[in-house]
Amino acid sequence: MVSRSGSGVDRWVGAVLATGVVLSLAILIWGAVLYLLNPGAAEAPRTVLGIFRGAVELNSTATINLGLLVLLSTPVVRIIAAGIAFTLERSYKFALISLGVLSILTISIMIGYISGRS
Amino acid sequence: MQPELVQFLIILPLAASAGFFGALFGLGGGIILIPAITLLLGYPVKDAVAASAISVIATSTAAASAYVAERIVNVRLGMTLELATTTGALVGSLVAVYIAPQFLYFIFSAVLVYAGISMARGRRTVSDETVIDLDRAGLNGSYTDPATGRNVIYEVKKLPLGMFGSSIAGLMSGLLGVGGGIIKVPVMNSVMGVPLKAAIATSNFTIGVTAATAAAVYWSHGMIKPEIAAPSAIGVLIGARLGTRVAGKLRSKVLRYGFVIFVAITAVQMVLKGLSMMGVSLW
Repeated sequence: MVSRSGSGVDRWVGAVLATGVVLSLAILIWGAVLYLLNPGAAEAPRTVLGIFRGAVELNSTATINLGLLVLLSTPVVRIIAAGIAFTLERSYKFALISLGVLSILTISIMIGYISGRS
Repeated sequence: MQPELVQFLIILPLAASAGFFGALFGLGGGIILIPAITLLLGYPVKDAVAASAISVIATSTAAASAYVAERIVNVRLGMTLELATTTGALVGSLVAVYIAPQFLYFIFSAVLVYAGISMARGRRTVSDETVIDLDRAGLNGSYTDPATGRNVIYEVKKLPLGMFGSSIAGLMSGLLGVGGGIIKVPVMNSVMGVPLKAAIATSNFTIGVTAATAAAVYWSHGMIKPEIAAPSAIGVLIGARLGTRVAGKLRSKVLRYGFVIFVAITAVQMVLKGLSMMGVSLW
């Protein structure tokens, strides 16, 4: 077999990426409009709960942070999506590789988060 | 006009061009955005670096979503190399505090000169008439080049060396906050024999993962400024999408020389940075 089409994986990964682009772009533009209408808004919340609450209350920086959060999560979500798709098509080696990337990424983010706290 | 709007209107086109060239050459576009934000708008470097990490994710996501849909990205190869880049980036970020960065900048620019020369010389990639009967790693790929309409089938060679090169790219990202795509594209193209367009698309696909780690760190440090990050991300998302449209139509030769120019610019930037850290100022 010359080329493995891997169509399932391409579709899953493609769907996650496209959703991430459209969703983050829409929220960011909305947040930017709110910000420009009323600049110098309050301190931007950085916790997930605070961001959601702020975005619902039309807080501009909270809305921008929500858009950024969606954007930041997209690469992580697409690794998970690829892992699931590889498992479904029984490419266990690549499912394992996806899990490995996800693990290293999680460790890195946790170390960074802890160092940010101290 | 209010100053906030002026700042938005300055960042948007700069970010769009960063996204455009990033998508075109498989890079994050930080080498455009960071100088623009620091020199033109006078923000401190750390704010620009944080915005740049967001922009790399934006370039990666927008470019890869188009390239995956066109089937140019080699997802299996990308994921395999991510194993090396993320490990390298983790090690790099852990040891960064113990290493004098100025020498790293010189080493990195030397690596870039080597990568640039090997890219400029180019190489014959496996063309469509070659039959590949052995694919034990399951990494070989194929795609239809939109510029020529030809179906390109290729074999991925020297996986261990490619993994090593990718871990160096990751290490540099962790140490210096740069060097994702600008190393990965030459590694895939010159070392592993991946055709340039597939190497660019696959690089774009992978750089978001390394940048996500950095961005998460900046986020927890409170370094991401919404008023810079928002116009950067919006501009980059749109610019990168436009870049993928153009990249498909360009011939590989044009992309190759454009890439070499970017490598040269980055190498010079790295030398200047190293010199300025040693107290040598050129202006």
